[in-house]
Amino acid sequence: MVCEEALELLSGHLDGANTEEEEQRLRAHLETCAHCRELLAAFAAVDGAVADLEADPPPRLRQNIMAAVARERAQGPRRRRLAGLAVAAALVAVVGLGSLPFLGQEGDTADDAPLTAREAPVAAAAAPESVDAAVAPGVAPMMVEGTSALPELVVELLDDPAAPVAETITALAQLPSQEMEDTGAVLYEADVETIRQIVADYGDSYEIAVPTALDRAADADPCGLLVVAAES
Amino acid sequence: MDGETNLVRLAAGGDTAAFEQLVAAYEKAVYSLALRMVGNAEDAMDLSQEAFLKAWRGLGAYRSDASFSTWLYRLTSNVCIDFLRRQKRQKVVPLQYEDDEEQRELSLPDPSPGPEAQAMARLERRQVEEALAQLEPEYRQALLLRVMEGRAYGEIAEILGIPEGTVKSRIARAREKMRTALQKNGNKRRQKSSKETK
Repeated sequence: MVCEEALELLSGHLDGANTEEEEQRLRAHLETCAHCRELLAAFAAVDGAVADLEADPPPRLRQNIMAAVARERAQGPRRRRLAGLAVAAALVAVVGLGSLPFLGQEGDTADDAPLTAREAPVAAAAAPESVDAAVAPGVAPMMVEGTSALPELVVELLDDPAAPVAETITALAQLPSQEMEDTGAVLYEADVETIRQIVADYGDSYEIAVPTALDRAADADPCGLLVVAAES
Repeated sequence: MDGETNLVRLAAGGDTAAFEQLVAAYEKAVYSLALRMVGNAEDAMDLSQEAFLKAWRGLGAYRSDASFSTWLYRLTSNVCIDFLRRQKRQKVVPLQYEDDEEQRELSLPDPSPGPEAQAMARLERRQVEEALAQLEPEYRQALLLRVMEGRAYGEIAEILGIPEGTVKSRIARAREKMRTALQKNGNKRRQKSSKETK
């Protein structure tokens, strides 16, 4: 029996994963091979020792988790934390200015469905408390000085410090980008088709706000991806 | 509908009490995996919190074609691997296992072990932790999921997104590497103590 084969048979035996035929072959081999019998005993000992390494977490863990859940819950049931971003994207689409709201902190709420271009001006004018999809208190659109014309369509993505998009979404490396002075957010410029692909590929990994206008847009239309840094 | 499926459904709808029950059911598994992947309690706490928070946020989009535990293990595994990759880039940090004083020692056959036997048990645990720390993350992960968490090959394949055959060979290799590392460490200790007595 070859070493590699023996290893897998022994290992498979311990895991109850061998076929009947494999078990028979192993049994036959073990009768004549003391080395493999020792290996089996050694592996079983390793298993026992590793299994013993399971550890109870401190009670603090559950408390911390539920506190974080409560904080997010307080922002509204199943509300995304991309506060004001959907509105922001709509504002950019409607107003066509290079203006991007300063992103609010916790306590923001945003409607699950991003606003259409027509609704945006109404929401922007409404008092923060009265409309669900409100721009957060303290948010003010800011002109970004000295930038080239921004695309009308902007998809916004909340970055994840555990898996920064700069490292995960390799397609971004090829795109022209600029950093927004005041927020530190990074705007990547591409076309609708590219951004749609990114949303499809990474929508499960990151929180992304997509303006409904994206659906109607043509593949070749300019489209931006604004990567917002996560709150610390 | 089984109990867990119901809890998941409720939690997905925003029921925090239901989610807390899921946390209670899985926190030991998630924490243990994180702890043995990254080697210290503080980071393990952070990563466990992160995994559960991702679960909370993602429950709305969670599809029931994977079981909840598979999905949660996958989240945990990913946050740990990402963490280790970042660490690796920043500097070469050998995994340091803290003195697990709060945790159980390896079980001893002698019901009331004397101080020397207790010291032996601690040593052995430390040896095992060190040997585990020396494994590459991919091997460590597969071994932990199989042996510590009791997941079957098929589920591990789903969790890690690799073929079942790869799972099988990784676990076999991990066991072999552990065995040789423990032998080496055992020999080192014996050599050391024999030198000291001279």
